[in-house]
Amino acid sequence: MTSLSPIAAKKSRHSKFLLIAGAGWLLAGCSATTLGNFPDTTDVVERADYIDRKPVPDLSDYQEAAQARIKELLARPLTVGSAVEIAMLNSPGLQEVYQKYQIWDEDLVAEMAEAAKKEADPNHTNMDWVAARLALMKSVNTVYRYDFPDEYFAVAEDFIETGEEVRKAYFEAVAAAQLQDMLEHAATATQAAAELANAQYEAGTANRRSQALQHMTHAEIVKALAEARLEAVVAREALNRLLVLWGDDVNWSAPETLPELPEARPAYEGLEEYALKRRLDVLSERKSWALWHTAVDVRSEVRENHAALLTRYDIAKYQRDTVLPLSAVVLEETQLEYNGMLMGIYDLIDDTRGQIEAGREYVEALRDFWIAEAELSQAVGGTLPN
Amino acid sequence: MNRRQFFTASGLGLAASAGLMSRAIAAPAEPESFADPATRQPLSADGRGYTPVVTLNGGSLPWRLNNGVKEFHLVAEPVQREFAPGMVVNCWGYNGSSPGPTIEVVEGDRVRIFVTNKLPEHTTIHWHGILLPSGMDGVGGLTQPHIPKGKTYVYEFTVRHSGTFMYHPHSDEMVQMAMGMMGMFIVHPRDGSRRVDRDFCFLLASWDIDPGTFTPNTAEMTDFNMWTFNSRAFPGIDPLVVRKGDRVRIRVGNLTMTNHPIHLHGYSFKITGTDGGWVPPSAQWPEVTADIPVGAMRAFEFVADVEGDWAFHCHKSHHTMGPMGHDIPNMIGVDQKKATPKIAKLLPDYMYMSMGENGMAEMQDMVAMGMSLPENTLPMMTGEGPFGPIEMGGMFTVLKVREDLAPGDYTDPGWYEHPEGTVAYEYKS
Repeated sequence: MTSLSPIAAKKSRHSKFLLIAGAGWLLAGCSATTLGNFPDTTDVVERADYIDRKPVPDLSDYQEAAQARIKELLARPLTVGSAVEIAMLNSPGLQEVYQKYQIWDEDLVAEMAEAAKKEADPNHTNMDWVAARLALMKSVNTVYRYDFPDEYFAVAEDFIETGEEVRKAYFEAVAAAQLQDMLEHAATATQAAAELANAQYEAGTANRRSQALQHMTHAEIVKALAEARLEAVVAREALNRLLVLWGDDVNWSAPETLPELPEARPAYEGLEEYALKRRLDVLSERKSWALWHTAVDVRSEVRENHAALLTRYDIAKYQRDTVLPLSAVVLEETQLEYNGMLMGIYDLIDDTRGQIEAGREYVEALRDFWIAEAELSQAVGGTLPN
Repeated sequence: MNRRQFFTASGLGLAASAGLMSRAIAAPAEPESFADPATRQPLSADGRGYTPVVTLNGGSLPWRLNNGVKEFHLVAEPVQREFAPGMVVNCWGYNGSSPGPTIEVVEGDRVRIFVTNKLPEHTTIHWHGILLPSGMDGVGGLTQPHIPKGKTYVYEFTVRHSGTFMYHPHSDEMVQMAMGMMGMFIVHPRDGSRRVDRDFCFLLASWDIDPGTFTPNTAEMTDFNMWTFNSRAFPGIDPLVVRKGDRVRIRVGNLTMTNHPIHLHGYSFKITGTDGGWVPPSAQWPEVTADIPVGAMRAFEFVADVEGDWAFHCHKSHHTMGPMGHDIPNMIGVDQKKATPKIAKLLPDYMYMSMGENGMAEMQDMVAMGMSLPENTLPMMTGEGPFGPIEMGGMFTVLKVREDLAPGDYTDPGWYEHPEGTVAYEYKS
């Protein structure tokens, strides 16, 4: 491997500081702070040694290819992976990068599509990571080699931040639609109760007060439903903005439900060291004291985000495996009591709503889990260990 | 020092205890189990000129004669009682059963009753209505120490009056009675008077047993949901089987917290006894419904001269029902067809049906069609008769009067076969 003086120099300075500070344990993960830990960066750096004078690609070629790919992705129910891919292709910030480094040819689009296909699990795609890598590899021809690492880090951070925002917005949007849909069921239930109250009043078996009370209950749900519909619009539009979609492109569909909770509890070992080897702020920090401080922060952020992920996982699993079955038992027993005229129709409707509410709480918990996962991915530098 | 301590210290209490203990009393007989809820054949009267009683879904406790004293052994204990097929209740009772077995003696008998406490708490037995020495009255704390768990106490007295009586605890009485602790105490006249051909007895009890549960809620005071004859609910209550022409006595005791107008179809009868004794003929008046007050007993008599299947039940209509919701909305005449598809859609795995628009009779059909209820819960209305659903529950049974029965035969003869032209029929123009 060609000797890379700036990188090597940085590394040795870090090592020296560590000895002086006597905090080797803290920065243990940083001891190999080289670009080599960022996948394929060795190739990038090697290729930076020569300048490949390729002609500047035509703007319209990229845009045509990108728009075609975006249409293709939008034609199917949107997954989190395709959402990130669209953002990578369409984000103005990233397009600026592509333009700056003159890498926006249709090959980039095709290569990203190819990389996306390789993702076995569409819910755990690292498209932003992949896109950053691709973009940077393509950009080396125009980068002055001694400035390259700073540029590299700044650009890659843009990709990873955009990826995190898109992931979070995606899960918010899918969850908001699902929550709205479930509240529609609750509104059907209260509407049925209000209609029964009307029929009771007409038949002379309930007074105006009882009738009004049922309608009040329904009115509360009607208002909550209006809020939920708005929340779904807000979440969808937030995603539309991140994906830079307009016109017919905003009519995309998404799966009706969030991705299922993973079978295994996502407890990761050695995540702090893993993050220190990957976090771009750690990798790009040149000053020793600042590196040390950054590493303290990174370790803390990773611990916090990991704890958040595990808690969100546990809550979602508890809601799914314990609370939902409990609400099912309540509803089932209410049905049995309704059969025996031991409980009335309003009790049955109430407990139906109780089960819907437990289901909504599960959707919220699942959404929070996926958001926590996106946050942890970002906290460890863009992608979680396999 | 209080009075009690003074008496104990002065030796009065000790002397009294020593006096009892010094008596040579053989160990009580092993108690017989009455766990089977089938009605037993009456005991033998041993030629003493009375007709032994039939205890509905129970029986009389055999005794041991010991130097002229009739010895009985009651064991107070937790029991499981089947109220009707499909419902078993965790009760407290005696000798494996709630109610306990009937104690049946003759006026003037000397009785010695061993009471063994196998309950998780102390108890006593009060002999309700029987005239006896104060110290044998069984009121815990007032006339005797409570019987601690695991101990056996002895009650001994001479029965001075014939009549219809009961026994029940007077020790944590509210809980123990709500758990089913009660029994009949029947005293026949010594002189062979007032003899009838068939003599039935049972106790009324009320229960609060939440749908899906097995143990009575003893804290309930007013809103009960199960009503029983001898801790059985229709269709779990055996019929009263009678031979045509028999003189019949029915004795009913009420240990619920409300009165029960017990109504017999097909006959008028006369109240011939209360818990205070026999009613002189001049004071008896005809009735078709005997109202049994709280904590009281009534005996009434008639001659069963008309064959048939005659309903016999409490006339409070919710007492002839199984458990039902008292807070359910009134759906009589309520058109539910607008809401029904919405509810059915919300509950795709449940066969939702609107109920109550045209009354509640459809309920028995739905249960018969297999609509499930909470576990251990009887339907609100049930029972199949020869002409269709009987739509009853709780305090309901049938007096079956038949010509072709042998004396002393209490076997259920099945449904009455009505002579032609004697059954209500549909009018056709």
